[in-house]
Amino acid sequence: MYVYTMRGARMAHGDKVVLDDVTLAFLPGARIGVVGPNGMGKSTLLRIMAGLERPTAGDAFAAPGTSVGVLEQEPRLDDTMTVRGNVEQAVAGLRAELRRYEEVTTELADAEGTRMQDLLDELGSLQETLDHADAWELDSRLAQAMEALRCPPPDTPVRGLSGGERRRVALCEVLLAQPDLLLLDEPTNHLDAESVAWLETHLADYPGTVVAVTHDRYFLDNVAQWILEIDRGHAYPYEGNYSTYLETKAARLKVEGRKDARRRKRLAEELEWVRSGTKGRRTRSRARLQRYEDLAAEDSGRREVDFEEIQIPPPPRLGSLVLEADHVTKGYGDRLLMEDLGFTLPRGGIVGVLGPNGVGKTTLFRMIAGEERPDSGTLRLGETVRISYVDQGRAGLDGDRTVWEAVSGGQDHIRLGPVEMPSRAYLATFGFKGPDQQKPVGVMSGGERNRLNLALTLKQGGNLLLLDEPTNDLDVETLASLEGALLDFSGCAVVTAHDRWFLDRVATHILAWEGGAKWFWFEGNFADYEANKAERLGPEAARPLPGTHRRLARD
Amino acid sequence: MSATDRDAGRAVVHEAQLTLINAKWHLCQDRALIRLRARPGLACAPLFPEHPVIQVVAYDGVLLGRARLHREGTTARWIATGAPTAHAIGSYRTLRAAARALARAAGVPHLARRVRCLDGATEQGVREG
Repeated sequence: MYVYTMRGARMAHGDKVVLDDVTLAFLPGARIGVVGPNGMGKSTLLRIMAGLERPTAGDAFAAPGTSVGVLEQEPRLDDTMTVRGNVEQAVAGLRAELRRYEEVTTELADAEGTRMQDLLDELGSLQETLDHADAWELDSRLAQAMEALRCPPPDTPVRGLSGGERRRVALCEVLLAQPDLLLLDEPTNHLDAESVAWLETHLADYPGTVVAVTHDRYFLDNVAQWILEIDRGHAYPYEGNYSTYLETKAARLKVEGRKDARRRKRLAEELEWVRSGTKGRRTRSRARLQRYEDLAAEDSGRREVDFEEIQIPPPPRLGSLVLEADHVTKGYGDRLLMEDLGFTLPRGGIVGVLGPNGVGKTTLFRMIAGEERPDSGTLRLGETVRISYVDQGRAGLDGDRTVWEAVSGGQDHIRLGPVEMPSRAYLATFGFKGPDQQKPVGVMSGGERNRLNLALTLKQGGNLLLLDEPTNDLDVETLASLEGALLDFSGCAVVTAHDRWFLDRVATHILAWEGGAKWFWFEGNFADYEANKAERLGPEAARPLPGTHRRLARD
Repeated sequence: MSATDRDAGRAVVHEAQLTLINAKWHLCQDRALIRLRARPGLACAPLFPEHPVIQVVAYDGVLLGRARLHREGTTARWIATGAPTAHAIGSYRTLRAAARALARAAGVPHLARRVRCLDGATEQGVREG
């Protein structure tokens, strides 16, 4: 029996058809990853399955008795309560059952005859419910989940939380509720790498059905058994994980004779990377550092512009010195952010900067950009370095201007190095299509601001890019496009990111926060760094958060 | 000790109490299983001695689940719950039918589904053999 069925479902928002005659059936216990371009219906699919919207035509229904839980993009919490109060709502029913269980055991002491039989019957029923929900260690499970997802302290009022904090609380709540059908809209956004690893472990063992809209490709590889692609109103299911999806989709595009050769090429490049294995990836990464001259010549020789892919203008040539940190120390008040930091970024290097919020990543960017100075030590930039950086908090964007005006300055064409590109086409590669480009900057969502920031940064034409969480809110195709653009780019980049697939593909170095004011500089990609970390600090250092050998799901 | 520490302390004690209650239940179940190991094939024994309302069901001494007599008004049904999921698989008119359903769910061969009940478990006044 299917846990959820959709038959001929159609959904339109105004003139835009988001889902067109979609027929799907979801099996109990299945793990489904949903991918597709932004704005094409993925979140709408989830909202229909959650019962928050109804299709304009066709049927969509869960099997009778199926409990459904959803993590929305903008989750709704009870703003009158604390973090713990919200999380407790997920287990309020279980708390009541536990209280009743204790009452029944007390009442049994004085019961006899028929009353005893009825109480034993009730006790048995409660025992089944509590066993099934693994409710006996409920407090420990709550604490474990809140710690693993880095929720704010339990007594924190929800009203003042940031968007990321609200999402973590909402994710904790929906996981603890353990619905039969778990719907997650971008569950790994705002989670650091350790929390993502913890989440993967628990979803792999989740007792119900999981449907997750996500652009996190390792998450898709590690958790999904099916990939559901939503594109232009249609749903295409692929059995297998993300790597299998790439292979199957490449074959499908070839058979269909699709004209978008560039998209097939990007797909083939990503697939080649998947197949290359650990050793092959390391070789590619090192080759990038060793062949800067070749890379620079290729980059500056590019004359063709593909209007459907992200473009980074060929940069000015770099001299031998790019960026060098020497005994850098920086703090605020009595809080030390970094101590005795040292590294040398070579030409062509792309650094992935890892660490949770608040450890100093943005401060590092500001120091590189010259907006702040270290307390001691030196950060040297080469004379040939030209930085591309837009500090979101200080971009000074006019809220009344549209997205298009902010990027193009009102010009129909913009210059990207030696070539010109239609400004609207440039914006479209960052997911701003059609009427999205007329949206005033002042009313944009956090995700839209991130994409606008990326568009503004990349067109600046520098040879040292500073990119702050560019992967958030990009769909998998746009991510692959950004990766391709960075791999073709002959300059350097310093990128804060938690998308492991992205870091593995593009990073030649990792700068990782490892607690306190300690930062570690490593040559290699994210996977190599993780292996190195386990060697240096022991296997526990590379594992998901403490206590994660205990699962939330029942065995 | 702060209020937060006291709350944390109470939570620990409460969780320990629940763990103890749950452990007692499982101790009763283990005792029933010890008795069932002496009976090959499909068999059931009361979880609480002298109270047949909850029966432990096993095959060759291996736990299959439980069956519980649930009364509503004048009707009574045996609710079969499988191990280890503790998920109810159905309600049945007789204990024998509930035990067989558990055996079926566990893949026990059809011919081996004759039920033996220890301590004369009864259902609706009929003694089982």
